[in-house]
Amino acid sequence: MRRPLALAILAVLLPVLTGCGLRSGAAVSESGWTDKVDQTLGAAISSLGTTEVVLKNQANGHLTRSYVVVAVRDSQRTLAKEVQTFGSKQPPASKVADKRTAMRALGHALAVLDSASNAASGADIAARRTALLEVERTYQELSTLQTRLTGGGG
Amino acid sequence: MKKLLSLALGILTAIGGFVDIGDLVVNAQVGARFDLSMGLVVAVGVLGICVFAEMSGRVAVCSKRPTFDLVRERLGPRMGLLNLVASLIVTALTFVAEIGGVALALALISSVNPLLIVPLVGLMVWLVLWRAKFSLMENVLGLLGLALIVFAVALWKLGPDWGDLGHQMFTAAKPGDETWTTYAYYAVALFGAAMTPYEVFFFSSGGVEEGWEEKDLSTMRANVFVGFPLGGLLSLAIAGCASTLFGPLGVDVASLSQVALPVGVALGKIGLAVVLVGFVAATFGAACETGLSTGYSLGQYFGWQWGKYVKPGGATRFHLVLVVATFLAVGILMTGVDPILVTEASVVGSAVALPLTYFPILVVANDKDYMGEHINGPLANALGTVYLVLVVLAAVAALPLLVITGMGS
Repeated sequence: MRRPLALAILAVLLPVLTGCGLRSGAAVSESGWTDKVDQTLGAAISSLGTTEVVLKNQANGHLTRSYVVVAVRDSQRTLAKEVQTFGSKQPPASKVADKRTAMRALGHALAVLDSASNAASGADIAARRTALLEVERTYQELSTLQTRLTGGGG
Repeated sequence: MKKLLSLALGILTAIGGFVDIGDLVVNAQVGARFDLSMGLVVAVGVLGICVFAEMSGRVAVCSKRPTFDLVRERLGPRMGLLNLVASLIVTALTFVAEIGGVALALALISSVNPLLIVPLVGLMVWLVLWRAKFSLMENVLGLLGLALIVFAVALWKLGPDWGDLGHQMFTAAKPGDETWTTYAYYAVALFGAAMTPYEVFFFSSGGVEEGWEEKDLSTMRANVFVGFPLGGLLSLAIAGCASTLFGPLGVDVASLSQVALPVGVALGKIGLAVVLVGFVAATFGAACETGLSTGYSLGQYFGWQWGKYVKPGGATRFHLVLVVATFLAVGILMTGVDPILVTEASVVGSAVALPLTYFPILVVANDKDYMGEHINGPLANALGTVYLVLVVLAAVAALPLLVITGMGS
């Protein structure tokens, strides 16, 4: 009775553990690197895009303050996680400069989201407007960078 | 008149209770990335859950006994144990995800850190499981879950190109920047979210708890064949909202706050308040259902006294399982694990466990000793067999796809 059960559990766990092992590998091929850049910059664009919609609708009075605070915080957390993973990846030798550029842009995106989070939770309408403009500008910059580094529309 | 009201109530609670954290998250993720190109997967999944829920409801009516009890008796303890382990792991994982979902939803209302809310949610879920009447729990949470209809209103207000949405639904084309493996991964996840095993166990065990008889068959079928598909339409509305708002911006859905955003944009603070009530009700209801399902499955397999119609003192082991499961779920969430990640894992896990869950139901529903004149007909068997092939394919593909796509990233 125990053997089939143990085999079934092993059959479920093995691919999952193998998958975890595969995902934590450090060596990245050139195409794998491009995919990773695409994914991470995509996550940044996604977080900034969400924050842009949230701030615009906060300005229109469509969203509650509690919701806005959590939504912007969620965007920050999502991006921070992606940046952390990206930072630990070793690029191919020809892409080291690209990684530096991407990391700089991602650091800026995190700082912009941090300012947006502070502005969204405060009562200063001018600060919120400034934060929104900065989010919009960074969204555009990252979209351009994504196209440049991945050679596509992302 | 009373029967009609009970029928309407059953259908409404089936609609409101259909959507859980897995449906909320996966439908929004898929909508944002693939538009409505996976609408047919939702339709196939909903038909599948209808087929097997009706079958297990019929088994409960005819045998007056719950599914696990019959599976163990009919297929032997080994097969029963395999069935128990597979569905218990997935149900427990879903229980963790649902409690996390309630905490995330309450955090959107209060802006308090979800980690601080999790223990409170665990306590509330356990209190409801311990003290609240089964029908009260099912009806109140199911009806409040109807608040999620606000997604359909929001979709209409967002004003999508309806022709385009219809075209996407029936062409199943993937966007150019996505790979077929990612597409397949999300299709399997969506299928797993629609056919979550606990729904069938909860449905049939609930039938035994409520003492369904042959005269209740028509009500049960109406709940399944009207309520579930309407619940499936809610899933499509969630995907449609995400597609309309997020698709053009290239935004991926990674949090529950994003799932609610289209409603806030379309309907303002009132819409946002309604959708958050819907989130809390849907996830809290599903947390109660999954929590009970862990107790049901163990109690029924080992032959303990089980159920909410028995006083806690008369079903101590059943209630002990509920307490332990709630403690474990809260403990896991308190480690800081992302409930959305747990949700994604639980829907893929569901896909893996599907054959072990649904094959025994098909076998029992074909046993004349249990079913008498209500044994499966040719249509139920044909559909059941087709779905068995589908769930085996989904189960085989789920883990390799999860690994290859890095959880769909």
